[in-house]
Amino acid sequence: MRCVSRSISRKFLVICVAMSLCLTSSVSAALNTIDIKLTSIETLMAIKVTSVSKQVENQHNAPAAVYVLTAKEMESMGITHIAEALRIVPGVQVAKIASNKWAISIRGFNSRSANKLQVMIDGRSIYSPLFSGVLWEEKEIQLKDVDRIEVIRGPGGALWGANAVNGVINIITKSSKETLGRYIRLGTGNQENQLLSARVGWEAYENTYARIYARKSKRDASHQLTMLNDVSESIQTGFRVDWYGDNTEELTIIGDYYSGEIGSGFQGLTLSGNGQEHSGSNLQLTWRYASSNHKNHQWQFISDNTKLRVNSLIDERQSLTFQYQENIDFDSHEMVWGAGWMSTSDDITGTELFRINPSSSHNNTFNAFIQERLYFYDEDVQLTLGTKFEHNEFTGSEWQPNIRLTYAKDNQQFWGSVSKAVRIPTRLEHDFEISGLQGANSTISESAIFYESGWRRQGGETTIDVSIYWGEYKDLVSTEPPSLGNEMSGHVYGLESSLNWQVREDWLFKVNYSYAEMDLHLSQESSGLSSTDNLEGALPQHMFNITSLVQINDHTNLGIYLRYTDKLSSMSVDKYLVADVTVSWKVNEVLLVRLVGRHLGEGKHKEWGGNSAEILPDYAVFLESQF
Amino acid sequence: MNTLLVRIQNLRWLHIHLLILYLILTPEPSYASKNLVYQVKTSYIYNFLQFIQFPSDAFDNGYLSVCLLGKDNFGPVLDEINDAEIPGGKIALTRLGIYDKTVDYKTCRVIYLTLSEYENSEAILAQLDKTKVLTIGEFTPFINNGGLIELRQIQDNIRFRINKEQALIAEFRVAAQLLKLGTD
Repeated sequence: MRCVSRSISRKFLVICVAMSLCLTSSVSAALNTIDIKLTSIETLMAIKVTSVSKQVENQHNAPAAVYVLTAKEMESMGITHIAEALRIVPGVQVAKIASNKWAISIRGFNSRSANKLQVMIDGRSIYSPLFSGVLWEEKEIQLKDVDRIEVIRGPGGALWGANAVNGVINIITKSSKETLGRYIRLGTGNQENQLLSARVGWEAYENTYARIYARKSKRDASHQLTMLNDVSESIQTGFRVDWYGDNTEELTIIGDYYSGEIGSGFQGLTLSGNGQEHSGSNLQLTWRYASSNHKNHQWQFISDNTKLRVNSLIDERQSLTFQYQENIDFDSHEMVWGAGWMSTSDDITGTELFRINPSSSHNNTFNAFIQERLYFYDEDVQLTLGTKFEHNEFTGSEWQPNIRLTYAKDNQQFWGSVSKAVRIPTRLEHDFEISGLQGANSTISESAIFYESGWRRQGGETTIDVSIYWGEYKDLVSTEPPSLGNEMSGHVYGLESSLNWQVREDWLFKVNYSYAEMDLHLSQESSGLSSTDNLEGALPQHMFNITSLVQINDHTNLGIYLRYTDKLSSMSVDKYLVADVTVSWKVNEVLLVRLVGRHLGEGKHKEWGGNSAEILPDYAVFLESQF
Repeated sequence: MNTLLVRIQNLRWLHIHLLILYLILTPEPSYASKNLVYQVKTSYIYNFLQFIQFPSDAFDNGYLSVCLLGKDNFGPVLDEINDAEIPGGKIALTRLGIYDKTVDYKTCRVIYLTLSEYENSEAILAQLDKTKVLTIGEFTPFINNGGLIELRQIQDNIRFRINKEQALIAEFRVAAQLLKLGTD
């Protein structure tokens, strides 16, 4: 223990020294969100500056490893599913397990139920409290109406709460004011057999805008003998209404419904066979207003219902969330604080072999957070201090503090941070019972402390972003019959970098590279049944990708996306290098044709281990019309 | 010994808490260069000046005098356009502070009126030779009172409109492209 604390304090010291070196350099203008001299008038007219989004902007300008994926990029690449979009983000490991399921994580611990990554859509968490992780196949998000995806690597617990241990993905949809008019997309391919989506947006009343959308997809069976029948079909529909009171007030109501099924060859959460059915609906209301030039408030109410049936269980759950947040902008500092309550009820039907005890439960979670950002030296230096407190019924009270320091000089930014995040046990981990093993009522939360540092340079045509990290994990869940325990610990470290280069007005070029290493061990008390090698070997050491988006002429765009993923030693997955190519041709003012080729260059290859499917080259054609 | 260490650490925490408390409880006038709004407005000023050609006599030793009149909400971000290249010369930025009717502002070739001058804007505009001086205001109504360019926030965005009649009689030339973008 003394040894661990000494090594932590040494690392802390290194970061402190690095920060103080940055601070002793000459002081200059603060880093701006936009380039004052290189931003065109047309771009200025489109920039959102409302006090509300400003705070969002500020939060994400916070010193952290952040990557923003824009709607334009996703569109240019002909991406149809949110999981595929995340492949572009540096440091995000996306492995396709079958034609309709993915394992997605950041900085390791990947699996279909990657449990250390928080994912939110417009502030609503889609992280499953049942089994942890995100069921990506359920989420047929209408990408045309997504404004941007913000990916924050590293702990986000101080703002976003539990389970944001390795990162947070925020999917932010467009205001319905920006989606006026009709849009239709029809597509077909050898993997995505059918893809239909449509949206209608209109001005409902003065200052009130609305849209409705619907989407249907059918995906072919995966290429593997044992999974012949995992054909999947799903639909999703929903609406969004935005009302703008005046410059300082807005109200947003969002509702979605989805339903889908996967054929009987599909392997469920635990054992094999029998397919899957899922459905759900959600309704959320967000009210934002400014009470003065310096104060903004946000009230959010979310109702979420989900149903999931796999071979060994049926889970039905309802949750209600209330959240309040206030941002206060003082002269030399900013503060954001908030508090919330979430109530979840569930009813889980297991089988004789796989029981959930108790089968229904009701849980309440309370949270409160505060974050303070202080500015020094003409705002060249920012110090951010924050913590979130959460009380849940499984592990009690959890604190997730962080401290971040930034130094900005001209168009460069240096930052360093120390943050703690926790993952609380899921309902399954807590309450399952199978022969010889059961969930641990005494399970404590997993926790990690991350030391991170980064450098960002924005200027002219290029943006460079580099970050390094070291994460210390403790109390990772391990199998300790007759129950689960927390006997695993260890560390992960690595580097993530990205280069954005606007070569010409009509050519955007991007290179991302990441390196990661993981070292875990079990305590002496452990039964040794959990394998650290499995986790270590599921993290690719090197990943890189290159994106090139070229506007060939007024009608034609070409997107090329090359990606390399290192071998996964414990999964027997070889390294692979594949390309996605998209050609978009604007036939006339209303019709666009897109030809997409994905996973090209390797023939059949695997992206995940076990009995996951082989991934084949995939070709698709889309017709898109906006009128 | 340990107890002493703990006490010292506690004291340190107390100081940090007091510092935070002090900072929270002492609000001062907003000086918001961190604010995206003022970055966008600064970029607008810079962009406008790229599209406007002033006669050569408007430049003093190669510098065009650009003045900020009213309470400064920009902060250091505005300094980024000081000395910046524009057609015919460079920008010389001056902050004039709040309006003083005894002061003559005629050395300024560009005057940006901030929100604090809303009440005085009619008097200020009446005092200026609007054929020589380019006026920019960040409130409504500005162009109705004779101002040339009005920046205004429309819901999420900052937009601008241009007083075309005024632009046509001015000695400086406003590019057609800018006039087009500044149409409602």
